[in-house]
Amino acid sequence: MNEELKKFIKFLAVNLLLLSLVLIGYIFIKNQTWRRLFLFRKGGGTIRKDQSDVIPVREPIKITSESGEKTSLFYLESGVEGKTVAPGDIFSLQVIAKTPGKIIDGVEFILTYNPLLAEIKELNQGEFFSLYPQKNIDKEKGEVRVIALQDPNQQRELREEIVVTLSVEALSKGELNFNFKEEKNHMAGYGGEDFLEKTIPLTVIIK
Amino acid sequence: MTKTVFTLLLFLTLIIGAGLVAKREQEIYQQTPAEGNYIFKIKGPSHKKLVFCQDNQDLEYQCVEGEGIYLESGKDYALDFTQRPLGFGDVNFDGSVGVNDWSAVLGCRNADSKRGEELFDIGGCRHADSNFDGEVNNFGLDLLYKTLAGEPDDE
Repeated sequence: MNEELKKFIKFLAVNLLLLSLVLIGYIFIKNQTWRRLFLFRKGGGTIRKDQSDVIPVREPIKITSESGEKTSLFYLESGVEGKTVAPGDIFSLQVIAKTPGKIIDGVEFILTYNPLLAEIKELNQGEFFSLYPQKNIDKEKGEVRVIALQDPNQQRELREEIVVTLSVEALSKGELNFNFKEEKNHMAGYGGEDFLEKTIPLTVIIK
Repeated sequence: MTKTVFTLLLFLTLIIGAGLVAKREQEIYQQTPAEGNYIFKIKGPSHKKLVFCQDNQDLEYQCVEGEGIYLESGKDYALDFTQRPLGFGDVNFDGSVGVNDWSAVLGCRNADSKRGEELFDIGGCRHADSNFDGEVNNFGLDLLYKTLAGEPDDE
């Protein structure tokens, strides 16, 4: 192969390489455009955001040096532990908040149960919290949602307090589970710190 | 040597040119969405998210599946969503208004947080300023209470 031909092939190879780079770049950008446009149309006009576009949850506001160590819990207490409950019986169920003496501005929870097995007849407020913006019973879904707040002009420490007392009627035989709905339970104080560590469910057997 | 430099410059120009064309196309596509029914999801800086599917949608109206505002491609629209204000209170931006937000606003109010102070400007109390007047006061607590008493979750 003569020198001229070698040079020509080399020149051609470099040109082809560069041309393919240009093409790849163009196709990539074009593809991205169409992909976004497709999602835009498919989503009924909603531009789907990438995970990186989602604004993260903000940090609690540092009002004091109190750390948000999770040391508190919700638990349930009923007057029927160890006893037999029959359909038609009415028993009480207390939702209790427990902390090691923290100033808790407010608590919230969603308690779920099987509405075919029981009916919540009544909801009574506890004494520690003075404001209850939410105390709803959804009898169809089997959900009790409560938001309870301490008087905003007081800063009392909470140790172990009844948030609400529910009056429950057993409807039919079965295992009645009261569970706290995940991610909807909070116990807050000190500028938005959440102290809730865990929730303890309760099961009542209706025979 | 000259030939190689010339070739490189030529292709560099081509690459930049192709990139600019594609970028412009992308901008045009983004500016002109397809016609159809649209819903608008609006969330404020510390407010719960609401869904709007009607122009001038009133306070109580709840959108049903598939409903939306019909928009034609390339036309300008002025939509009014002021009848249904966004509920204040999602201070920590977790998608729900709850006791953590209440505690944040209360903490800032108790600290008498004002614009120009570190706690307000950097510490996060600016998110608890419900009416953007530069201070956190009972007004914010009242608005937040109203949201808590209604539907506190993002739509």
